Amino acid sequence: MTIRFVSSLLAAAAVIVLALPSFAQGTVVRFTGQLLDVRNGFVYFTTGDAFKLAAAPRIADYDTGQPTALQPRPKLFARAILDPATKEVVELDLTTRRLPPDVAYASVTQYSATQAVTVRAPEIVGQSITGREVAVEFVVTVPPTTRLATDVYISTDYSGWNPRAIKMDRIDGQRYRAVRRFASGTKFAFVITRGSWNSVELGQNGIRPSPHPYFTKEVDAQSVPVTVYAWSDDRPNEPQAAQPGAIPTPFNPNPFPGGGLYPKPRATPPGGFPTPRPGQPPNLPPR
Amino acid sequence: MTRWGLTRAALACLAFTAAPGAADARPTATVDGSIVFFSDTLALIVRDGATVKLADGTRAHADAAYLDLRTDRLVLAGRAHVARGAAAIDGDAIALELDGTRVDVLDAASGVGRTTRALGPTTAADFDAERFVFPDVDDRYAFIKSKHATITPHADVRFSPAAFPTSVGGVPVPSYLHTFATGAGFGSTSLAGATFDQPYGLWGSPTSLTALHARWEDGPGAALALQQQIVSGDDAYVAASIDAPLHGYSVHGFTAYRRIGSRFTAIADASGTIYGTVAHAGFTAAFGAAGGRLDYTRVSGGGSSFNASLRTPDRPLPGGATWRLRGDFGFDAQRGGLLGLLPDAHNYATVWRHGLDLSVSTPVVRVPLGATMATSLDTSRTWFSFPHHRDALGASVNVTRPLARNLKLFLNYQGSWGADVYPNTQGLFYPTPTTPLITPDGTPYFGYAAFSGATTFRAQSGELQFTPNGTSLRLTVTHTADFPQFNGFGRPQWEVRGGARFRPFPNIGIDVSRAYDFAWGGTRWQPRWSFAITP
Repeated sequence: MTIRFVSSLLAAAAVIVLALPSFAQGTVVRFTGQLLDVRNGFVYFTTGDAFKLAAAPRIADYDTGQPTALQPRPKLFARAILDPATKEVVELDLTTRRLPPDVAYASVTQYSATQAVTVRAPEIVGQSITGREVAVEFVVTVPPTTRLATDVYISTDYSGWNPRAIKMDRIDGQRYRAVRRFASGTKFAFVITRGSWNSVELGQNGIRPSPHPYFTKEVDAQSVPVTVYAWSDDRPNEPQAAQPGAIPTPFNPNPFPGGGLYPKPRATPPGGFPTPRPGQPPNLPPR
Repeated sequence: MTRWGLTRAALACLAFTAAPGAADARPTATVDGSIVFFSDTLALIVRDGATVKLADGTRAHADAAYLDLRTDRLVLAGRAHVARGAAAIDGDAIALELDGTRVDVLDAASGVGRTTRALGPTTAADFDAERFVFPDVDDRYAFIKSKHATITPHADVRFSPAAFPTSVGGVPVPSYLHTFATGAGFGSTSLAGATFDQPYGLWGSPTSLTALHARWEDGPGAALALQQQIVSGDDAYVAASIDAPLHGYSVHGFTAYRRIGSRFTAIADASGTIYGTVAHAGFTAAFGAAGGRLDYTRVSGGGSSFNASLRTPDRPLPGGATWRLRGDFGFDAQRGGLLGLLPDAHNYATVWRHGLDLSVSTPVVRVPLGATMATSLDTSRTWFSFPHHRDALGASVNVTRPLARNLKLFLNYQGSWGADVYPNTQGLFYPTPTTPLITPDGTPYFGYAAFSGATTFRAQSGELQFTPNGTSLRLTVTHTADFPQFNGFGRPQWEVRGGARFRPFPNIGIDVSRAYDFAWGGTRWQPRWSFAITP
C-alpha cells in the first residue's frame, strides 16, 4: 500500500516534472513572422502586427538560441518572445530562413500595439479648414552680394503682383523675415523682389523660377523658407553707369548735367580734338 | 527702335488684347448688397440682403452671401432663393459654383438636397459641411467696402463704388478694379522706378490689364502713366507704357519675356525719350546649375553693345564658402568711334572685349560678442582689343548683432577698387587737368589732379533696426571715403536715413523713409522722401 502510494506520488511528480517545460513555455508568448521594421521601440511584422520592445531585448539566432551577428532589419524572419507581465518583446530570434507562423494572432492580440504612436499627417487623412488665424513666417535667404541697405519684398498674386506688397526685415547678413497672419486655407503664389520687377529672384540655374505656391495649413504657426540664388539685375563689377556724380572715363567723359565741369585735357592730342557732336545732351546716349 | 515704333508696339498690344479679352472678360456674376472684400483671402461677404446675378440667367437672393473668388464658390445663407427661368428652389442655405452645375440645398427641416443649375427636383444627399462654410470675418481687416461688384472669374472684380475703410472713415472712389489673375506676368512693368506708384486698373481680362499709374518720380515729380499688359500664365508677358510727367518729357517703354521650356528664357525691352531710344534683347540658358547669357543693346545714334557670358555653378570651398567664375565676351560699338578723345577715333568704332569674374562668398558664421558675419569678394579683369584693360575688386562684410529681442544692429563695410589701365597712353586718356575741377557750389577740387584712372569706393554703414509688433523702425548712418570725391563730386560723405513702417489701420500699411546728406555740394542737407501704401 505504502509502496503503491509512493509510486503514485513519484509518477505524479514525474508527470509534473515532464509537464514543467510546457508550463514554463506558457509563461511567455511567441509570435513568428517576417520583419517589416524595428524603430522607435517597436517591432513591426509584415502581418501588420506591432509589439513594444523591452528596454534591452535579447537578440539571438533562431536555430541555436545563441547571440547572433544579425541585426533586426526588414525582410528577416523573427520570433518575438513576449513577457506577459510587461507585454513587451524581451527576445528576438532572427533568421534569414522563411518561418511559418507558429501562433495565431488572437493569442497575442492583447500584446500588440493597437494604436498609432503618431498622428497621421493631415495631408493624408484630410482635414477640414476652419479659417483660423495662423501666424506665418517667411524667411528668405538672399545672395551674399545683397547690400546691407537693400530692401526685400514679397510680391503676391492677390496684391495684383505689387512688387512691394510685403516688406521684409533683415535678420542677419543673408536672411530676411516677415511675419503675417493668414486664415487657414489661404492660398496664393508669391515671388521675392527687391521692390521692382526689374530686380526679382533667380533660381539656382539662373532662370527666373515660377512663383512659389503657398497654402496656409490648419496649424498654430507656419514657416515658409525661400532661397534666392541671384537677382535678375545683379551684375557685380559692372562698369559704373553714366549718371550724375559718376566718375569721368574715356567712355563717359562728362557725367555731369549741364556740362563744363569736366576739365579739358591739358595736352592736345596729335591731330587735335575731334569736332564735338552738336546737340548731344550729357549723360544720355548720343543721338 | 524709334518712338513711332514704340507707339506701334503699344497699339499692337492694345489690339491684341482686345480680341481675346472680349470673350474672356465677360463678367460671370454681379453682386449687390453691403459688400466687404478681403484681398488676402479673396473673400467677398455680402450682408443686409444679397442679390446675385449669374451670366446664364440664374438669379439668387438671400440674407447674406459668401463668394470665394479663388474657388468661384457661392454660399447663400438665410432664406436663400435661386431662380432660373420659371424654375426656383428655396432653402436655409444654398451652395453652388459660378462655373459649375452642382447646386446643394440645405433645409433645416428636410436635410440636404442636390440638384443642378437647371434647378430640377432635388435628390437627398449626404451633408457636406465644407459646402456650406460661411467664414466668420472681422470687418476691420476688409480692404474694400462696396455696394455693387462685377466679377470676371480668375481675373478681376470691379467695385462700384469702392471705399477703402480705415478706422476713421473710408476713402471712396467711384469705381475700382481689383485684379487677382494668377499669372506672374501681371507683375511685369515697362515703367521706370518711381518714388511712389499707385496703379488704377481701367479694364482687364484673365490675360490682360490696362492700368493708369499715379506716380511721383525723382526729378520730374508728379506723373501719369498708362500701361498695357498682356500675360500668358507665368511663361510670357508683354508690357507697353507711356509715362508722362506733368513737368518734363514723356518716356515710352516696352518689355517682353518668354520662357522657352525649363532651361531657356528670352527677354526684350526698349525705352524711348526725346533724347533717343535704347533697345535690348537677351537670352538666358541654364545647363544644370551653370548658365549662359546673351545680351545685345542698341541705342539711337549708332551705339550698340553685345555681351555673351558663361558662368559656373556655385562650387564649395572649405568652411561652407562658395566660389563662382564667370567669363564674358562681347563688343562696344559707336558710329564715329568710341574713343572721342583720340584723333583717329573712327578706327575704334568697334572695340571687342573679354573678361573673367571670380566671386567668393562665405556663409553666415558666428563671431565673438554674439554676432554673426558674412563676407563676399569679387574680382574681375576685362581686356579690350587695344592696349587697355580694366580691373575691379569688390569686398563686403556684414556683421549682425542682436541687442534685444526686437532690436538689431547691422554693420557693413563695402569696398570696391578699380583701375582703368591704358599701357603707355594713360596720360592721354586721363590727362592731368590744367585748371582745377570746379564742384557744383564753385569750390575748386585740386585733388582731382591725382586721378589717373584708379578709383576707390569705400562705405561704412551702421543700422539700428527696431521691430516691435507689426512695426519697423530703422536708422542708418553711412560714411563714404572715395576717390575721387569732393564736396558734391561723387557720393556724399555722410548720410543719415530714417525709415518707419507701421499700420495706422488694420488693412493699410505705410512705409516712409527720409534721408539727409550732410554738407555736400553746398547744400546743408538734402531731404529725400520715400512713401508707399501697402495693403
